[in-house]
Amino acid sequence: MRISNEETGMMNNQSAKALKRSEFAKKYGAIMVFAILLMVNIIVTPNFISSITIYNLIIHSTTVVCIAMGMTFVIAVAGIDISVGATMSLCATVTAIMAENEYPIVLCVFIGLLLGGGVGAFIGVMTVKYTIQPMVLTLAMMIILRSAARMVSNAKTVQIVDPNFLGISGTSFGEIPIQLIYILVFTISFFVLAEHTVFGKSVEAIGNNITAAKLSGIFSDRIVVFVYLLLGALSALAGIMAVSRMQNCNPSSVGSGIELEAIAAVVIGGTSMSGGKPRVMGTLVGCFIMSIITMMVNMNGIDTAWSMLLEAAIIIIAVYIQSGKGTSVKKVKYQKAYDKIAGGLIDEK
Amino acid sequence: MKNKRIRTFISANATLIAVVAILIIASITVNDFFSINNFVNLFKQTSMVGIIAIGGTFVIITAGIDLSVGALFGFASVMVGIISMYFENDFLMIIMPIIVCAGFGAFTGFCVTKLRIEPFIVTLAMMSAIRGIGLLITNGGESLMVSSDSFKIIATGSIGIIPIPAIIMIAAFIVATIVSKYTIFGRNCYAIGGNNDAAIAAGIPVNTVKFFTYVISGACTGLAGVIVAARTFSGNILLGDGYEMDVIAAIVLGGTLLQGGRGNMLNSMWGALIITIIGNIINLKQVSYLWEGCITGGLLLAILVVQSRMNKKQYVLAQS
Repeated sequence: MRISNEETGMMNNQSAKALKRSEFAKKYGAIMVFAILLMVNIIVTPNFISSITIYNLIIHSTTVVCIAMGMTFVIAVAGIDISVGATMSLCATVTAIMAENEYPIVLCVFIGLLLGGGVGAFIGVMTVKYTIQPMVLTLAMMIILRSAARMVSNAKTVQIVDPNFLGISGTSFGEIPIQLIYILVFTISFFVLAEHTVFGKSVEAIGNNITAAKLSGIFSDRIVVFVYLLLGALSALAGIMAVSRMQNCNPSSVGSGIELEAIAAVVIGGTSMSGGKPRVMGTLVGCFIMSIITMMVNMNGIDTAWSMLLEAAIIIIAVYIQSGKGTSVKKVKYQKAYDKIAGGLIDEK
Repeated sequence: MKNKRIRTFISANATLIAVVAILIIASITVNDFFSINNFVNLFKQTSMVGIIAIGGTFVIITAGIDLSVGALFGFASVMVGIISMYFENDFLMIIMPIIVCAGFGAFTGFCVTKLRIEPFIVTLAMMSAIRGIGLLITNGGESLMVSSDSFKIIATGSIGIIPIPAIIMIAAFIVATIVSKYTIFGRNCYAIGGNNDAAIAAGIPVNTVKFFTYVISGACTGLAGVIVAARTFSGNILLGDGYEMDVIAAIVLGGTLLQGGRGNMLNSMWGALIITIIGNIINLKQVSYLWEGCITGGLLLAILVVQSRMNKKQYVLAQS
């Protein structure tokens, strides 16, 4: 069976076309879904077009954006971390208790971030050194950290009264909430980190093929540990911002369920769960999609049961639009072209 | 030579050894642990996680994951409640939830194979969707009573001293072990998990096999839901909250790789037993609920570390 140059060319051409389309879907799929949701909301939801809506959208998505940014890198190195909600809770509780005992706020936040980073680094070292699968490892960590958070505060809700602490997410400059600045800073810095630094490229290389990355001289262990450390610190920051907005800290409820929301946002944004390129911009749009679903449900007064169904449907559709035209189409096209040629060869015989 | 054989045995049966070790330690240190009553209880509790873990193991061997089992578990119990309300027929009460749950599994399988969405995301969405449907049916999470006495035998009855749910579980595990080891379907599962592209090239009907693993997972969850409904005499959508994590932990403790391609059916049962024993010890010791999570998680972590040391060589081989 020999395939002529022309036929190989045809196959390459077709697969290149499909590849381009898949790249397009990966880059703009999330934005398309967001635009559709926006339009649907403008038509359906009353009072949707107002500055309050935008204000709420931004405030609502800050914590998820914060965690999802770190999660993007973790998922890009083919890892996963489902303990982020518990890390959030533990660090926020520690910070809140320290603030209650009137330590200076900068120290409290610093200790909180340090703790989060420590937890993240521990998870990273365990995955690298003991090669425990991150999903179960972080599952165990989730149980431990949530319980530790309850122990620290004796399962009581900690009130936050320190005005400086409340200022972390309570400040606004005129009409603009401080959360907008957080989101801009996160997005820009992580976009630069992912696209224009050696670190970002190393993450992509590790996600694509860890053996090849190791062989080409990337210190994969260090980078993986650092990625988890980053996520841990970001979860701590998200926890501090969340309790500062809620003005109290309940260790059982802070950050519950946020891990799944963040992972969904990352995947909707186009980062593959089997590792690969971290797509920070996509993640940002993914977070907005998750927030807009919640707001749509709240503003229309949709029943919880229906809202769960709606959320499920939107997630599946969003991920399908973003990934369904991806590699699968490439393979199918390739297969079709191959079948054509193979069929032709059989006919010749 | 003999040394090597022992080592192979240990790394293949690490979970069983862990179970035995935990049993011995618990029997010595915890009062009331070593009694027939307690053991019967243990097996009753294990049966549900164990039966779900069968389907879960098939899914994970093909490199998928099923997070929707927790919600589906509760939904199956709700189905039992609804059928008992309208029909009062034991056979229907057993068979219908299994069929409906298999249907949900089929939908998951469709999304994974035809729409090519990551299983993690599909099942995450399914978890939310199934819980939503369950809440709709039960008007926001009301418990449905199951009153049929003959139906309750599934969970409360026993043959000799062996409780019926344990018998169901062991029978299911024997069937699943045979299927996974000696049938084309089972071998295909391993092949797909080991290398998806190679499996396609070898002409294995990858999509069909993956589809059926999700159907099996749904059906097993349905069966477990029937048992829990018979055990608690009620159906409630919130019964299975967080169950998926128990199941995944059990499967992974059994040495199955989440990357797929490696795993042993029977070890999943031992994994489920470990999870139940840890819960049982915490109950018997009357640990403060503040400490409960730390101990469960800490033990899980310790077992994972030990297991990874035992499996390291095989793991590295499987990864590269």
